[in-house]
Amino acid sequence: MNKSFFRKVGFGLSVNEKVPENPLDWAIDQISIIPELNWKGPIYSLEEMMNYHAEYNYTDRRVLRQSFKNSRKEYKRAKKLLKYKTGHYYFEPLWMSIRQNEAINGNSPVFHRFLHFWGNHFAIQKKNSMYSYDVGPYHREVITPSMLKNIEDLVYNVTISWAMIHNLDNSKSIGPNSPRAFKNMDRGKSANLNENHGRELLELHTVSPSAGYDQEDVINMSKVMSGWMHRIPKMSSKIHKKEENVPVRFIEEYHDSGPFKILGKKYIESFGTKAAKSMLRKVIKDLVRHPSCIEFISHKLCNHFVTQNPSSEIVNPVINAWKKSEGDLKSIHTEVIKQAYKYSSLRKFQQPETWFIQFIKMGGIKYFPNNFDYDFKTMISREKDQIRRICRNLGQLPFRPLQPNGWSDYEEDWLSPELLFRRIGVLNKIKDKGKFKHIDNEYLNEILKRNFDNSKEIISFLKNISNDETIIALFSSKWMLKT
Amino acid sequence: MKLNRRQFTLGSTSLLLSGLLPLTVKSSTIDNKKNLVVIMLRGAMDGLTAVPYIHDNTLEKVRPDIFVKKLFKLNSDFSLHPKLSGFHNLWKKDQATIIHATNIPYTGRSHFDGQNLMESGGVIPYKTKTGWLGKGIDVAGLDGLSMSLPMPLLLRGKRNQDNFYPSKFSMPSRNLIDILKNHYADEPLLKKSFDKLTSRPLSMTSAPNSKNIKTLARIAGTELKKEYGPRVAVFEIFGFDTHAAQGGADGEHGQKLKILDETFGVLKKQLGKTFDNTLILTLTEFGRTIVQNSGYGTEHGYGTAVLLGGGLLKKSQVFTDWPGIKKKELFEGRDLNSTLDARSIYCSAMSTCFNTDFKLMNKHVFPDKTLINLSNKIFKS
Repeated sequence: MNKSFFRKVGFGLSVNEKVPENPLDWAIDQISIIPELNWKGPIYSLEEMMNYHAEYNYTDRRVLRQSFKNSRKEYKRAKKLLKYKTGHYYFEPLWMSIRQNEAINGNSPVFHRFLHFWGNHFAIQKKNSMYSYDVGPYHREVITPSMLKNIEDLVYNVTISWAMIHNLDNSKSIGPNSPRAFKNMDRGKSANLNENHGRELLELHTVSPSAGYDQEDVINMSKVMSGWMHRIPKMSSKIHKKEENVPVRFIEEYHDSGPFKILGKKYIESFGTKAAKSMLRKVIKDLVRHPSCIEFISHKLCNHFVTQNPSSEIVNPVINAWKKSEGDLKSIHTEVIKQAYKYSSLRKFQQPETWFIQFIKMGGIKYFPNNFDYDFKTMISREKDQIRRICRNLGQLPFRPLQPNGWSDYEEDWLSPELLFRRIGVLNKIKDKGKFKHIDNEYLNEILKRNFDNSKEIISFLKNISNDETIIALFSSKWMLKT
Repeated sequence: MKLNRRQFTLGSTSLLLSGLLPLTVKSSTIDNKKNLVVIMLRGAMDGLTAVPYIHDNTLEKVRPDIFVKKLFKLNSDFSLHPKLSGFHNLWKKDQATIIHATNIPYTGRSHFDGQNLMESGGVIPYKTKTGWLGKGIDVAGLDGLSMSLPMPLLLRGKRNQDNFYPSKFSMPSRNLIDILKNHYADEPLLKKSFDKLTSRPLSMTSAPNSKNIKTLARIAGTELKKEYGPRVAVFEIFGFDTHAAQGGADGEHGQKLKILDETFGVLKKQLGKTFDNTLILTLTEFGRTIVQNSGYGTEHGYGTAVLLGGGLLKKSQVFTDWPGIKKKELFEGRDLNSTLDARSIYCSAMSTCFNTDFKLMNKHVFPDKTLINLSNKIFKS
């Protein structure tokens, strides 16, 4: 039956779920619609987050630093209260709870596995405090709605999103051949491109270095992107208080008028804002059709969902689906799912968060706090912060990758003595808290029946283990660590 | 061990230690134990902010808003950033060297490729799966212990090195440990890691957390000082990628240099006499552009500076074949050029600290066999 498939493309089955008669239909149905959120707790939009972050930034930079410039102690105290008031410690645990709730209790775990993949592919680094405010809404409002569209839409929407523009400094970029650059020149000021975003769009988000682009391509890509920014408006003090926390827009004054040449193709911009604005879209359209992009991302998808270092036999059908559908994400995801099903006997080491969500879901562990309301006056409770702390202890905070290329998907990067110990240690600690008490033999059999083809082998493995350590053994087993 | 997990995941600073198992060490090595501390400056440290060229006003002209004026003068050509005051004290005691206009042979300006090569010592990004320090430890026949959750590429060698990071977790029963040992037998990587885990000394149980870089450096110093303790420590400082608000003296780059300076300072203090047998070495993936950008920051560049501290240095000096910073002298018209392959410094440092022949180290660790042995010029014999 290939029951490992439920873990390869999802998070396993809980004992409350029936084993789907047709696993492929089960999975493909889930990536065919944007699912409603199961989460019943508080939720905030990106716009609200910008306001919270603006208040935090403005008050800290313009008010507290001035008011308490003679007393570091007072300043620290005031800043702590400001952090409470603006939800500084609250939002990341909230976003993680929503994310993991959808994986565990939602109706579309497969959709959410793909969302986790794309969130990591288009990673937002912990660069400054904003990540803890914006990553949740960025996943929900930018990536999620793009997941049934074309890869071109996904890349474009991510590229001009507040989170990515901010993360990769595009607002700092001025096209050398732009009205702003000429103005600056007249005033004796410099005006330079910021290449960060242009480079990552090529290197990490689309074609990868295998496309053989050079520095000129990076510069040209940055020129195309110039003008997309969250510029601080100066018209009124009320808006000014928002500082950089304003929506991204295209400001032609900063845009380089070209011509551009990227990966050998020339792009000549016709006159007018509309043409200038649409240039980025044109280039992204070509990038996602470039063979290196198709191969790079297809390989990455198979490496994540099927097996580490997948053969061309596994990757080629995904490449073909991409080409045939001209980048339709549903078609691409469907083919990845088919490959995961076909090759479900090939095992893949699971990233810590994925493995942990599977443990919670399959084990029916009571995990989420009773509510997530917050008074914005005090430190959040340990209970609400628990999910974040567990992931931190497992070595993977999903919203804080150390590099812009996201968390690694390779066994070598996750299999070290300490990381292995953390998984076993976390299970041991949860056991000590008495959270396995509901799992008797009957319950265990229900877990095995739904999620494993080799139940007999597992029962034989578990037979010499004391009852209170059975769950630790099961979830530390090679069948769970490598699915 | 008092190390803080938070320091690592928050990405500000982390500490890794490479340890030495007494049984594998010849007594002569212990008699002459030399320590190597590597500090990885991630994000591209600007050598011209840390050690500005002051022979003429070229730099000040192209960096009108970020050029730091109150500097420690080193000689007629170079000064030191004011946040590096502790390093300047080492300079005054002949325990600081700057190697300027150097970099790994990588000009692609990508952090990820650059950091990969900075750690692997290779020339093609992602091709080499091991780190130059890990390979050097292999050549010298040492065993390593990394004090971190993820194993850094820098310390990966042929043999799977151990890693450890303090936590309050505990192992399950002996019975389950034995069963899992057998269970992982057909999974080579899993087995290797579990075997390492289950053969840990008692000292690697739980440990309380600590939160700042000074504490981490103090712990490193204490461990390095031990006769049979670790002889390699690795720190990471993130955040040198200052595309905006780079500085002035109190800018972002200055703040990061201050962390670096504190690390030098605490190590010096904690190591005491052992500092005489220690070398501290900085790595970064590349330098930054000469010209400031419109966000008062700088872009990804090429040549930069390596800072060295410790009693193993021959004398205080700025060691450089200076390429100049006039427009025509720059790499691609925008970056400080590199006139020395930084891997020559890494290889010479390992050769000196691990008491191993330079050529042997070069042959087994770096793919390029033409690196220059700088030991006699930089280090005490």
